[in-house]
Amino acid sequence: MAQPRPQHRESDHPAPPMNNGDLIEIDNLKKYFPIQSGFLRRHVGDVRAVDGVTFSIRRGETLGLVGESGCGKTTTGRLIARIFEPTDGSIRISTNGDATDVASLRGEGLHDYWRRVQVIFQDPYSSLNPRRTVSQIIAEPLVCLTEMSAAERRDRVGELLELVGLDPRHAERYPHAFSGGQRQRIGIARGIALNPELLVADEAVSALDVSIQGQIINLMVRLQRELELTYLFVSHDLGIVKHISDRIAVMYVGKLVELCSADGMFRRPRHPYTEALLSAVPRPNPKAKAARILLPGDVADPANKPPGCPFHPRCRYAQEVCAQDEPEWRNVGDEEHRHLVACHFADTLELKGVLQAETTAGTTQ
Amino acid sequence: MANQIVGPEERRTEHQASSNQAPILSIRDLHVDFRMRNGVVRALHGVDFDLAAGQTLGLVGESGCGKSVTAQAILRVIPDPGEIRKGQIIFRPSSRSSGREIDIAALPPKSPLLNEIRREHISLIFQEPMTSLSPVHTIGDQIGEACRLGRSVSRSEARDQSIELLRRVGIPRPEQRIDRYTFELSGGMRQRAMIAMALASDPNLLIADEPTTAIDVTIQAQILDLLEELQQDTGMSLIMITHDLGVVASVADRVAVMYRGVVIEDASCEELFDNPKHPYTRGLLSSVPDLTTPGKSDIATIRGTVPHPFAVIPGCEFHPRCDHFMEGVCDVRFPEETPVGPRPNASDHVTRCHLYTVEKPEEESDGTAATAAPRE
Ligand SMILES: Nc1ncnc2c1ncn2[C@@H]1O[C@H](COP(=O)(O)OP(=O)(O)OP(=O)(O)O)[C@@H](O)[C@H]1O
Ligand SMILES: Nc1ncnc2c1ncn2[C@@H]1O[C@H](COP(=O)(O)OP(=O)(O)OP(=O)(O)O)[C@@H](O)[C@H]1O
Ligand SMILES: [Mg+2]
Ligand SMILES: [Mg+2]
Repeated sequence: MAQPRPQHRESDHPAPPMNNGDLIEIDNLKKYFPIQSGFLRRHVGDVRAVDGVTFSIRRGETLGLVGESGCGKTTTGRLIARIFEPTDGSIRISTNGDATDVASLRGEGLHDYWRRVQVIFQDPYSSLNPRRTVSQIIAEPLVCLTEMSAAERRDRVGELLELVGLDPRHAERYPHAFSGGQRQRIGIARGIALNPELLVADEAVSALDVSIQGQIINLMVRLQRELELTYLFVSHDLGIVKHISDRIAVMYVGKLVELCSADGMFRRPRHPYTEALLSAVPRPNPKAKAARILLPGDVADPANKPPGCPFHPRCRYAQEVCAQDEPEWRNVGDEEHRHLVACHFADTLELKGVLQAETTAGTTQ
Repeated sequence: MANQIVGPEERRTEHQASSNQAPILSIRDLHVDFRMRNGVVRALHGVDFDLAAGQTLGLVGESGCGKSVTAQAILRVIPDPGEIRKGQIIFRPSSRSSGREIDIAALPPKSPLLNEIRREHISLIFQEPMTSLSPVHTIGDQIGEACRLGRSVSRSEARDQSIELLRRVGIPRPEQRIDRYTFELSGGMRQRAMIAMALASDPNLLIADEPTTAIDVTIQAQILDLLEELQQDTGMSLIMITHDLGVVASVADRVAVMYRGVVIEDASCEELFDNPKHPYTRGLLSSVPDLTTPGKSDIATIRGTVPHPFAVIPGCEFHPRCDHFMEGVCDVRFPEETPVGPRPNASDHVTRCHLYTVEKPEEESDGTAATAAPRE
């Protein structure tokens, strides 16, 4: 953990103060995984899993993070939780109004950080140790990061199981005796065990059936209100993301392509990738053959990114400039309703959202 | 090639002549128990359904209702201490009426026929990619192995086929990824590697257990299209286990809804979405978050939670959570399978709910029970 960090800028960049209301600020964050080859494990290139993302999460909000599979969402979550060390860029957390540089944390300071930021992992099977009982799994953060007595831990585990809708009598069973969805609740119970400030929920409800999914989402919303939680909510389920998120960020091969309010995005997306994503959500109606926008060509590859806009080879609106210049990350909304996007033609394209036109609004669609 | 039961060529021609033939799979009264030290989990207690050759059955239901155990039972890979207590799993690898029928439930665990079925006829995409992908072999080794099973394919041919499969399931740069280990892949890539592995043996029946939960919707669409294409080309039959009712609506021909180890409603896909009958099915359909309404709102849910797996609930298992609970009926008798489709007494839409059973509870007093069916 406490290794010296590679080529990380220290003082050449005086940190600006944190924006009021922000809990976490991420600036130009990068994570490259080296690709090695041959017997000598020669370094032949990098998987640019996260390639310069900048955003902040406001205290008490839910920020949804969506995007193509493999685009770096989990890696971003792990960087924020300091499970991975960034290759470059900074993460700052607001501590009583002051900004703390997360990269500089060591020892007790890092433990403190881990109490404040917790993760619910994507794969409930491999993230739950099969040789430990459910109560041991949920108590793990309590053991590592608190001074609770065994009796206090037992009470807390019982409380947590009830909170996520599991029978406390299950506490002594092993994870394999639970269904996928039940296991996911165990992960949520562990995630909230320490009353964290920020919970990174990585596909936290994707193994659940819709009725339980709804219960867990409603539960997360309730917990958020009661415990003043902030969520980074990573999911492929756009219906769920829309319901829980205040703002949504869309990622494509290691970069953000769009970030704005949930309704704003669903009403009028500004990036062609977002438009395609929204169009591909399967609707629960067998007769509605969706007007899906098919993305031609190969799925983007973070080890071999195209020049210019990374989406241009698959974009049906692409022009010459898209293959040459990387689009700037800019605001196309107003100051109050910021709508950030990285597309050369964000101002002129009329992209299609999925929100029903409100009855009050003029019907242009 | 060394296909002993029926080859792909034969399958294809059968497929074209299909329609009124015997189902490829018929499950009858299937019971699976997990005998634990402190109790018995009745994971399945009387599952029935048919799958017509070349068709897609969507299997949906509450978490823990037994979907994965059903899939595991069909391949006889139920983990310990689970076992089939009763029932039949009739598999008809060739759909001609003269074709043979195999009761998979009755085969001895080590029978060569069972191995042959697993190798060449039925593939399972497991819900948790890491349970069936090995962490110590590259994905290429694992998919190549599946390509070579039961067929005389050289190592390099198998490698080429694996690369092609990886490409078709949407993995970029497959010629390099093939030499990677699973921990180097993202969640969705692992899932796609699993799908490639399951397709490598060119199965007659593919059981896909939540195959796209970790995959974004654009790649999901690509994979669903690929499965449909394979079904058209090879006549493959498909059981799609998923909690995503949007996926079910877009791929399934029929849908079976399970609750606590039984199928509580079974209908054609359109009929089920248009005309759901069981209060649980209705609850499920109304819990789907709607994409198209503005604003943040609570998601509709079904009240209560799934009871403890050890619990034995008398009568209809859903009654503690049901808004149409009828005392003295729902908590006493287990509901029979009742036809509820547009054609009376036809089995094309059936449900297990006392609202529809023939003898209405209050029939003696007045005739109102007939109108007790739930309305929104
Ligand atoms: N430990 C690792 N070593 C090498 N490459 C990795 C490692 N972890 C992730 N990657 C690569 O980094 C990229 C981003 O992975 P990540 O898991 O962050 O994606 P994701 O957006 O969470 O995808 P998914 O939606 O499929 O879960 C992928 O190309 C992946 O293969
Ligand atoms: N190895 C096991 N040991 C004991 N009980 C088990 C085991 N596997 C499954 N069960 C029990 O069997 C029941 C059915 O589980 P199954 O995994 O089939 O559910 P599922 O419908 O696939 O749920 P999900 O949607 O959450 O994946 C559950 O009550 C579960 O607790
Ligand atoms: Mg991920
Ligand atoms: Mg399952």
